[in-house]
Amino acid sequence: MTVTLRPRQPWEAVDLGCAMVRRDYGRLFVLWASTVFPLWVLVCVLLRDAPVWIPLVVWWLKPLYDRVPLFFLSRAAFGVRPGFVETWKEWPRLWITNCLPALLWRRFSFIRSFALPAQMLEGLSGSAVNRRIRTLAMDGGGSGFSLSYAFSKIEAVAWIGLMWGTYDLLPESATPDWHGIFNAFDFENTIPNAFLWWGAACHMVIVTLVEPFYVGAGFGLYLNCRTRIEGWDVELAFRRMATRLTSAAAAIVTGVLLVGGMPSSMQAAEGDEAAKVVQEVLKNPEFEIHKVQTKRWVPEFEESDAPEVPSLDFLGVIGELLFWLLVVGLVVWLVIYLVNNRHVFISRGASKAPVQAPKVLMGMNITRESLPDDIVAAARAAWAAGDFKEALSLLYRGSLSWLVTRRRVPITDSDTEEDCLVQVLSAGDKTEADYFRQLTGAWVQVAYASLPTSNAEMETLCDQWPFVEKGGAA
Amino acid sequence: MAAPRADTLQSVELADGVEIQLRVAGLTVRSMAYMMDLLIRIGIYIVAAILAFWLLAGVIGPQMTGGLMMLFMFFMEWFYNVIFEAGPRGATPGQRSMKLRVMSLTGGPVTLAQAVMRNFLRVVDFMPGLYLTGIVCMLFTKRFQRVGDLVANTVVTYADPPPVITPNVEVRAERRAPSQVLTREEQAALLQFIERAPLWADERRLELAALAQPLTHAPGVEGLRRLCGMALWLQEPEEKRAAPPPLKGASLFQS
Repeated sequence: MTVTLRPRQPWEAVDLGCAMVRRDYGRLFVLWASTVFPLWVLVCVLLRDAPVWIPLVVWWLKPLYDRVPLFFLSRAAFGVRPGFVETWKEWPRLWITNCLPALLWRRFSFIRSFALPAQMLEGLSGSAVNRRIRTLAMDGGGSGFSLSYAFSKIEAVAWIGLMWGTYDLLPESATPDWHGIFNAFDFENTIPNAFLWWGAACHMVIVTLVEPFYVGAGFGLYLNCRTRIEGWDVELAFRRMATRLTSAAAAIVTGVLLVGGMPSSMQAAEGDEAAKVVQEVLKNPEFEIHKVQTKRWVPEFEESDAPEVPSLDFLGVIGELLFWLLVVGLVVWLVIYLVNNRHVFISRGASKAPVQAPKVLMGMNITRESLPDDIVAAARAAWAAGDFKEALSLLYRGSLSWLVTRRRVPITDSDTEEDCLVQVLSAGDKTEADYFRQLTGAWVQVAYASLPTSNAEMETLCDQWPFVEKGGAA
Repeated sequence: MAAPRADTLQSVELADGVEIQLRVAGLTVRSMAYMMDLLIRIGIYIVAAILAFWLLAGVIGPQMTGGLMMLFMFFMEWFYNVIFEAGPRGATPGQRSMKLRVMSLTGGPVTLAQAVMRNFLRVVDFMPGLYLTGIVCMLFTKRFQRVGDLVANTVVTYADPPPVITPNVEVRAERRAPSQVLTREEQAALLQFIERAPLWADERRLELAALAQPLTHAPGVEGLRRLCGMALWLQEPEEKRAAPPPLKGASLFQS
């Protein structure tokens, strides 16, 4: 089985048929040429005096042509492509079977290609064929009709298109006198015979192109119909399963006998198989190695004795100028880039990048601007005035401000007093850390427990204030 | 390896190794859709011409009106498809009537650039006359693509997912494991059987069940019953659990 069967939408079934034909179009064409072309030669010889009728006869005999492609497709669907000789032996039988009804009263059936498999492949005859076609047409008749409509339209359009496209290639004597046609409706004398022959030839080309696809599309519809109303895909799968299971029962016995020699041969076979698969995959177009060869015409250099061609040296000068401009531009850009991003290359200590220091900690503003210039003096004044909390707060805020901005202690604005202390102990230098620990203790007591520190302690805190510029006033 | 099976599903491998399958649409459907679009356009032209010459000709003169009509037709011929295909539905009215849509080969929607490319190249597809190049190209390419499609990397696909027939039939059969190990294909066939069996006649079901006798080891109705039982087992190997699965996070509340 080389076709994937599943219940499809009708149009999709048509596409499946077209895909089957495309897969084997080369072989189909050879068969077509060997069976249909002789008939066409005969038709042309018989009608050599009235070429205007040739397209009609060629169209009328279509049911005959369809049979060989259908035979081929029906075999190919099951993975057995019939050879040339085999098909030739079948050819007379194919054309004679049911040929009179097909050429006479069934010629005008709109479901021609859909009904053809039922006539040709199921081995029925007489009224059984009609009954069978009626049964199938209940499900797929409408699609068969639409299919015939679409393909007749495609064929007509392609025929006109081919004649239109090749019209300009015809010699003057073969082109009709359109003026005479439209004015006098005198077809006899205005359309030359050559033009009629040309039209007939174009028609044959188009029928050769389109008709196999029409047959294939009908076959696809037929398969889909049987799949839907009879579960044909399930039937085929069950048949395969039955053969596998019955042969498997037989194979167990032979397998027991061949147990010694089996694995190696199987592995070898598998290896061969794998190698074959790899080769086949590598043949796919995706793995094709493309080489692009370009040939450039190089003029043979001659002494031109035509000096009127202006010298193009200035182009070279301009090019060089542009090149140097580009180089200078690149260098300038590189310098600017380096300057803008210097903090990446320069160590952190001397960095002038803006400080991301918190401005408010624990509800207290610790920016330098919010504090007095001389913090220690302000604290002493507050202490003397008896505002102990304000005095310690000034010291504490001042120390934090210094640590955050100058020492870059990584304190974030969500830190508590304890967090600040931990950060300072791990980051600040020893004297500052010790002082800050003492200050924090005093501050926490005043702020949260309202236990004022002793005067002596306040004195030491003020005297030991370490957060001043070196050499600057306290 | 056997020859690849003919199928309407075309698998496309994406850059990250994912394979998607596109239900590409062939020449016949697309020709029908094109016919619809052509008729729609002609209808619009007729209506527009009548309106223009009835309302405008008195105001700006017949020559001007004719010129405007020509401009309108020019834009329609070149941009009708582009605008609709690049739109949210990815399909012209004609394509929608045939339940088609245009897609990029990667399965995504068509970009404006792709829509422009595939429709401006209609000139090439039209070439010798009346789309002969396009017809031949569509018949002989694997994904039924026109020249414009090949250049723009687009395909025309069926828009709707295929309808799934689920007849509401209670199958009275005892669930049983298959007597032998089945290949994937055979399991799929069994599942197809149980799903579509209600659509077939009784005799046909028995016929099919008789074919599977090496698996069921029983003729006639008993074989059919066993076959349905195995299919049910494949659908759901275990009985449905009576108790619902525990809630997410239930473990947090257990000491």
